[in-house]
Amino acid sequence: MTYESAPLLSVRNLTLSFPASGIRKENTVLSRLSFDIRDGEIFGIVGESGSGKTITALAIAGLLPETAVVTSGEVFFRGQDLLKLPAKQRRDLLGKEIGMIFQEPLSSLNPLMTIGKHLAEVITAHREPGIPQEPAATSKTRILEMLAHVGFLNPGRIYRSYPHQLSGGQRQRALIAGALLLKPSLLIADEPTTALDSVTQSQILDQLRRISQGFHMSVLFISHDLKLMERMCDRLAVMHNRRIVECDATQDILHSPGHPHTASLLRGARFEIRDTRAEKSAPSVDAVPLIRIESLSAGYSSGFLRGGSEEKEVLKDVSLNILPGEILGLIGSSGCGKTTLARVLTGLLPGTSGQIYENETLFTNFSKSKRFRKPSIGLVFQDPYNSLNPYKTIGWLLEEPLRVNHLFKKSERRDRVLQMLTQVGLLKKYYDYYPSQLSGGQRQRVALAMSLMLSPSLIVADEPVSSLDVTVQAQILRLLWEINQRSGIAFLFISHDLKVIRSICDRVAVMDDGRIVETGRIGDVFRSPTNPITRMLIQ
Amino acid sequence: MPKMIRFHPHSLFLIVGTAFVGIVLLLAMISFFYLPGDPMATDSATKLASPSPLHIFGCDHEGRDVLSRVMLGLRPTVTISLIGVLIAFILGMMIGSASGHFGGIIDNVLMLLADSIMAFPGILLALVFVAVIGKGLFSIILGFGIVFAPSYARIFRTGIRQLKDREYILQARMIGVKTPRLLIVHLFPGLVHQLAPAVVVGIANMALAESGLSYLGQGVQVPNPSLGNLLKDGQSYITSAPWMVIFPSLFLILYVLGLYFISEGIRMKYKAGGV
Amino acid sequence: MNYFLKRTFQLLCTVFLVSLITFAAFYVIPGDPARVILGPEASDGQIDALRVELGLDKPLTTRYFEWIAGAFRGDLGRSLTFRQPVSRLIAQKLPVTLSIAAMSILMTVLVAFPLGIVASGRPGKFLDQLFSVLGHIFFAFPPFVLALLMTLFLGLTLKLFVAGEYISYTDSIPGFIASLFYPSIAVAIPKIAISQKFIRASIIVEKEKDYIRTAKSHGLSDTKVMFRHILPNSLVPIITVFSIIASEILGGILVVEMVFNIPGISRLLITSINARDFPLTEGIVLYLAVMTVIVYFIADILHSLVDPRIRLR
Repeated sequence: MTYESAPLLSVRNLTLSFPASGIRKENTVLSRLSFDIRDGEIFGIVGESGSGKTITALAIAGLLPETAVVTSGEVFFRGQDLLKLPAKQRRDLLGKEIGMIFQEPLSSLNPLMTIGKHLAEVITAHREPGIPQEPAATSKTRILEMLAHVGFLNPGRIYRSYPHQLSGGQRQRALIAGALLLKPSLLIADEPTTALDSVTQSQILDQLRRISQGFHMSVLFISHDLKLMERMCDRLAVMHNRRIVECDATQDILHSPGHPHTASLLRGARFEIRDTRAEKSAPSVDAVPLIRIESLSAGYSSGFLRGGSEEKEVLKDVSLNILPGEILGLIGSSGCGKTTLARVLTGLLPGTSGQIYENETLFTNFSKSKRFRKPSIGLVFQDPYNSLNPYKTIGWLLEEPLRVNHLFKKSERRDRVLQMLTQVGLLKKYYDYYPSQLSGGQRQRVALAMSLMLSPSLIVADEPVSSLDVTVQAQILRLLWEINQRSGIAFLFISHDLKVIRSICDRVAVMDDGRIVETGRIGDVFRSPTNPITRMLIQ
Repeated sequence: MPKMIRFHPHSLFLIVGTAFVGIVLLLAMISFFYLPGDPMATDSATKLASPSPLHIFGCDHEGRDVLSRVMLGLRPTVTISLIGVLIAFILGMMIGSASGHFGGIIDNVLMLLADSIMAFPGILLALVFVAVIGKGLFSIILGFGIVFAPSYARIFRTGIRQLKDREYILQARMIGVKTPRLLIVHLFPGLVHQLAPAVVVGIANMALAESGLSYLGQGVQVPNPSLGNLLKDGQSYITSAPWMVIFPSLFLILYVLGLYFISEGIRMKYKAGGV
Repeated sequence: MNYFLKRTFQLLCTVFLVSLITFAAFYVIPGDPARVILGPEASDGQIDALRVELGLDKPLTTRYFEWIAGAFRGDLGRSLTFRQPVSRLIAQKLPVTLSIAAMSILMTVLVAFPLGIVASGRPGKFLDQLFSVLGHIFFAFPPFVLALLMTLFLGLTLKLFVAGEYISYTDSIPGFIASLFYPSIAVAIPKIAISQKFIRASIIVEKEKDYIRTAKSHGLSDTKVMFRHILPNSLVPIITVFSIIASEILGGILVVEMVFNIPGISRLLITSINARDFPLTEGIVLYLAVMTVIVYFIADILHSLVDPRIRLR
């Protein structure tokens, strides 16, 4: 890597704020930010949500909301201060010299336009006045070439497709193609793969690195995930609370962090949840399984007005044991049927065939009857913002399971709820709060409490920490672990995040395309996977 | 003054709206106890008399006191609009809930039915009912109730379909909440922010429809006053006695405008985060 | 293609139900329709004659099918009052009503869109708040009250037009349009108010969406973003609202026609109701309801043309 004398991008003392308006006070979001990005390097900015990473990216690109005000500082791109440029010139740079991709691929494309049409706009928007526009056919060829470059095997089909016909990963690739179409010198990537599953994530990140090397293009890579940074970035800046606290070569930072905040980020990323001294021995594989699932098949049917039901089979002949008191992990790429299994197990979705046994007693035979309900199995969802009824207080929500099942006398219910709040680590005052007043992590605690109210023997947790900040994730995982240790409740822990699974589970099962392809002790599977699918996931 | 608006626009709407509706309701209620003049007494001496201390709103072509007639005329408008919306709401709730909850063929059939009813422009179906059953409060309320029900059914149906897969509803099912309680206690509160404005607007629209009907001679019959037929009478004398048109219009507008303001205030309040 | 077929099927079902409702409404009253029509003083002979004429001796289902079959052919029976085929009477008056409807819709679209776009450009500023308050006020004015007040102030006080004057299209087309102008305004004003609000809100919502950010990151100018991305995407909910508005316009016209003394469908309808002319009333109601259904259908087709997500599964 040759270091040229003048950096491509140079940010100097950038300070940004949102001025007061109406009831809101003035809010400084960036404070004296300074860093350089050199030609051809991949530069990362890492920090927690709210540290100012995205705003930095928007400020460089020139996409700040109208209300934002730059109070001081410069952004030099190839020697020119972008902040002092007239709007039109700034716009000309965008798309041509500076490209940008964002976090939400699912909503970042105009649903009414084909990919081809959308991408063609990039070319037409940067037409030089006086120079005749290149013929449409040439533009189309350029677009098809770029689509192939980002990894599409059938660029022609993608060119003609609408966004809703493509998956999240495909949409993100298309967006990358659009950002790179005019071969910019700088690509800003703001959490580009956070919303995608791990397999797609790796593929796209590899592609980005290859393109950066191939085009000699700099990348400003923004994320909250230190592991990704390690893979991708040459140099790294750590942001915390609107400032850059540390900025150096990636390896140096990760191995000898200079700033306490960096150190705590690293700690959080390591996830040591299990306290081996207090650990109960995990149940032996020969023990009588708590739940035994036998040849379960399930699917969704979508039919029209009369008949013509199309059965889409998602689970195909699944057999799985859950041992009493264990934490069983369930992993697999998106769409493999993990959530469907969770839904069937908890009675929300009927299966089409197969049986489920609890303690070797049959409690559902889907081949005969379709529905069942088993309050002894609890469920925790991924999305903390929709898992609690926003119109009810926490206390009311936690009493509801007792109320509906006629448990305890009315007067005793409140006490039970207050006890439960303490058990999940919440102050008793939250009894009267509404969900909107709680943070994501606190809401997940309440969700857990709701399941625990009915003293279940198994709790199915479907991506319970995936929507939370890294530091909060660790706290919630620890809570799950403690509950498992204390009360012996088994967990079926579904996640796409391998380090989370690794930190908490006793055994793990791997799913692919509606089938279980491998199960085993966590250490065994991760060290020496027997199945190729498993190997690909673990990488 | 502008600063005040920026701070609490929704409160302004609610206050002004309630004031307007309040005036109308107050007058309507007073009409049960006291009327300044006799609304039915014809008097050739005061024919088309302009407003005076004795007759604040003037007199109509038969010499009757306009103020009294307006106050009396408010009654059918208010009654029909309130009861009609109640009927439409209950009908809509039942149809919409069944449709949203059961889905499938039931949903398709019920929504087809709802769409067919919505195909009749508001007043039209009421006109049909009146033509067939005869003129009278019952046929008007029935006609309106049926015509306005589908829009509430749609709100319930769409709302239920949107919310029934929300995690907190699934969670409620899991802990054992049965369907009636699930719908009414857990799910319906999520629909209030859509239903409340719709109900208020429905009252306003029904008042408009009723006055339109009476104007056409198909609603409340002369000599019984209703805002609509007062306007009809007034139209013929618009040059000689404009107060016959102005005052009934004023009160109709007050009622409808007030209701629209209230509904707008509710909608703004929820958008600002009233939950 | 699939979507189009599905919608056509639904359209036919709706029309079928509509006709059923219309038919049933007239014949499910207790008692004898013929007696109801002629009143209590009619002689038995008159009643019997009417029963034969209306075909009341045949069973209900037969009557319905005969009526429907006739409707397809364009024959809706004969009016009792005018002694003419119902369809001919309707055909004479319908063009006037439809012209008012067309003018109102045109006015609404031409005025509401620019107002809405402008208002969305500076939300919260003075102009926007002014439009908003004015919009609320105008929205609440029922068309026929507006029509009356217009007659009073514009027609008589300011003498801008002669109240109650109507020029037929057979005499002079400009005169025809002129005499329909004020009625159309009366009907259109509340619709303009609500459409403008809705258009403004739709645009503001679309502006915040992520794909607008992408378009800007591609370097597109604000105008291009507005016309290529924001407006087309706002169209989908706007089309829905407009179809509802179009059907409401029909309801508003019914009363406004009477205020301005325009010889349209409305007067025919009221006459038929007062005279208990069931065949004529039935025919008019059927026509108007089917027209509304067709408007909704057109809106749906427009939807699928604009939004590929609806067209292709």
